[in-house]
Amino acid sequence: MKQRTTDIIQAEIDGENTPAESEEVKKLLIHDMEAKALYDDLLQISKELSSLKSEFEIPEELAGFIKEGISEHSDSKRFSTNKIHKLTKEEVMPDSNSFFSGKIPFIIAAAIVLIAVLVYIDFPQPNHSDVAGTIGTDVERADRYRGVQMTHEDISLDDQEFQQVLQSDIFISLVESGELQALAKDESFVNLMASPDFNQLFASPDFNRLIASPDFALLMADPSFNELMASPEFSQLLASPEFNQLLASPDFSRLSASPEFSRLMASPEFSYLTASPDFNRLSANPSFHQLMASPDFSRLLASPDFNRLISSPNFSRLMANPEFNRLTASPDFSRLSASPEFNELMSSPEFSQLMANPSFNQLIASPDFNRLLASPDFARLMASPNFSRLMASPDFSRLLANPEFNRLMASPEFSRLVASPEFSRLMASPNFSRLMASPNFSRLLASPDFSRLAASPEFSRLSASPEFSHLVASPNFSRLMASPSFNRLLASPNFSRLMASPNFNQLMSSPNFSRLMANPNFHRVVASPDFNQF
Amino acid sequence: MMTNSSDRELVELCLSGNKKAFDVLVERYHEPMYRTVYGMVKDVEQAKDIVQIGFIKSWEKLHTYKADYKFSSWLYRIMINESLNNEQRKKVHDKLENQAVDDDTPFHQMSEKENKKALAQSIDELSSIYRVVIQLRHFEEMSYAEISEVLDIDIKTVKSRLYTARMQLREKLYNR
Repeated sequence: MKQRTTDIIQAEIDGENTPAESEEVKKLLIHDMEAKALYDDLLQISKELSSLKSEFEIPEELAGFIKEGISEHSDSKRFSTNKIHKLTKEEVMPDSNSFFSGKIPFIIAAAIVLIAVLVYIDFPQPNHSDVAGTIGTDVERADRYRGVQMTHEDISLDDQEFQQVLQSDIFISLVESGELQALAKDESFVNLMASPDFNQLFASPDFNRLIASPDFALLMADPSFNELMASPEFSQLLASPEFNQLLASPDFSRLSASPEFSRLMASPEFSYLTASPDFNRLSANPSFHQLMASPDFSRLLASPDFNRLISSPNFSRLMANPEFNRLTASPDFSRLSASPEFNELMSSPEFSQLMANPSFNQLIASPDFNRLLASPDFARLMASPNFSRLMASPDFSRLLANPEFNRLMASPEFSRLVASPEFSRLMASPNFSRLMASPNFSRLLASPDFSRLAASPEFSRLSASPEFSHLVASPNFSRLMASPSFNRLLASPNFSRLMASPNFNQLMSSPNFSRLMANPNFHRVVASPDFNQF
Repeated sequence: MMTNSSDRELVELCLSGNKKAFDVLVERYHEPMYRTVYGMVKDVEQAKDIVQIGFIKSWEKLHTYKADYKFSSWLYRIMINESLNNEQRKKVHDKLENQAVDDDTPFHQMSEKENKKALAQSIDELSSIYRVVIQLRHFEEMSYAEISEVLDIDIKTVKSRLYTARMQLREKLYNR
């Protein structure tokens, strides 16, 4: 039968034909027995289907149940579903890795950007005697802080690069906007600027290479980055106590100072993963965040046996096995269990050790762990197409097979961080979830500029540099991160406005700014005692 | 009276912070949404949960709703996506737990009549992309254009899926 014939027969039954088409069907049914048989069957099926509608019973109080859920949710309570979905422990493992590849590096990247921002904000301040030969005397720092408006005439500097930046329209509008003044009055900000750790980092060639790199400039000019900076989710996270507690925690400092972490940051696998759409989709999945926030999950990740297992080559091979990756998307468990990789893992000493480990068995038997496995959040994550896609993505497999990644997973710093209460609190914070779920964040992670920066040698060098590690691990940095005034600053509309200001972003991405950052005179100014005293 | 207001007016009221307006939308649409979800997930409790979650999501994401679409189409889409996600989850679960799928489908519970039972069983055996067009067409009485809007597929695809679904039902019901 021709396609058009079947189309008009079906449309006739559905009442979708024009009068002319209906007429055509009528004629057809008289002469064509096959068409008539099809019409009769479809009509009968349609009638029976429509009669099924009346058989539905709507549960009593359904509307009330829905409204109750909305009210609870509006009051920031977690709504629950009744269905419990239990999964095997094997499924927990791949998930554990994917999370860390994304969040902490972002925090580090954000810290770098933040430092760059602070450096930038600070640079118009110098007006000291020991650099008088470099910087003209017409720029009065104190005046600027008192809100006196600057004009082009007020700025006269000998240094070419200072001149170019300070006399730019972008800079003038930024200063006139008042955002800079408000920021620079903050005590925490001043303290950080005065800290030796900060100045060491600032004066380090690695930091300056990064700031001066075209990748950094590209990121600064990237609309995704600017959207993220301007988003309320980002400001809320930066200002949240959970985020700051994590940054200020010794575990975080130890992790970020560890060579494994630095090497992972520098690995192309990490860049591939963060740039992959699969990863970004997963990052935006609320179930994923709920799972990450669970203390049970943290405890599992922190267990040494678990880490030994996931860092074993057998585990990596299994992760790279396409059949394993197809498991969540189209479950064919029997094929997987017959695969050599799976069997190798099962018979590996690491796996046996884990299984025989009393603490592992205790964990499996613990109500916390079982609650996690039975939680709807966990089930939702496991069954989400985003998760399946991530598992099946080659980027993810590459990351899992990366020795640096495995070393990081096995490092005690990493375990301690994951097990720390600060980490759990951050994971559980609604601000963090909101940021992770925000399209701005996903767009930034997916932005090629962000990936390029993260993959750039400058970034790697900086994150591996002792100066950076010192700064992040320094008590000054931690104090600043934990200080209420710094948090107030981050939460202030001035800060958000500055981050979102096109002028500011243009300036950050301008070649003049990069050149200024690489200028040794500028370093001398910042490293001078007067500057620190300020 | 809000109960007489149009969907669009209610959405605007919600966006201006009036939560009661959303209650009216819940009253208006909970039954068709439940029917659609129930037909897909085959479990009363799951269907209730999914409809609740779907409404919560729509409340949260109301600012993203574009008035170019009918509100009900947007809501159907949310519910159907939730149901499909649930189905994926259930598949994984069933595989992993090695459990047989429960024979007592909702359609089985609906009617004792043999022909209806056979039809209900045949619907259950359809894959979700076909089952959903059957539900929207026959239970929600949507036109091709409305189905196309809800599922975000073109009308040609709607016709073709409906036809395939019906052919599969025909095969199951009359050629057994």
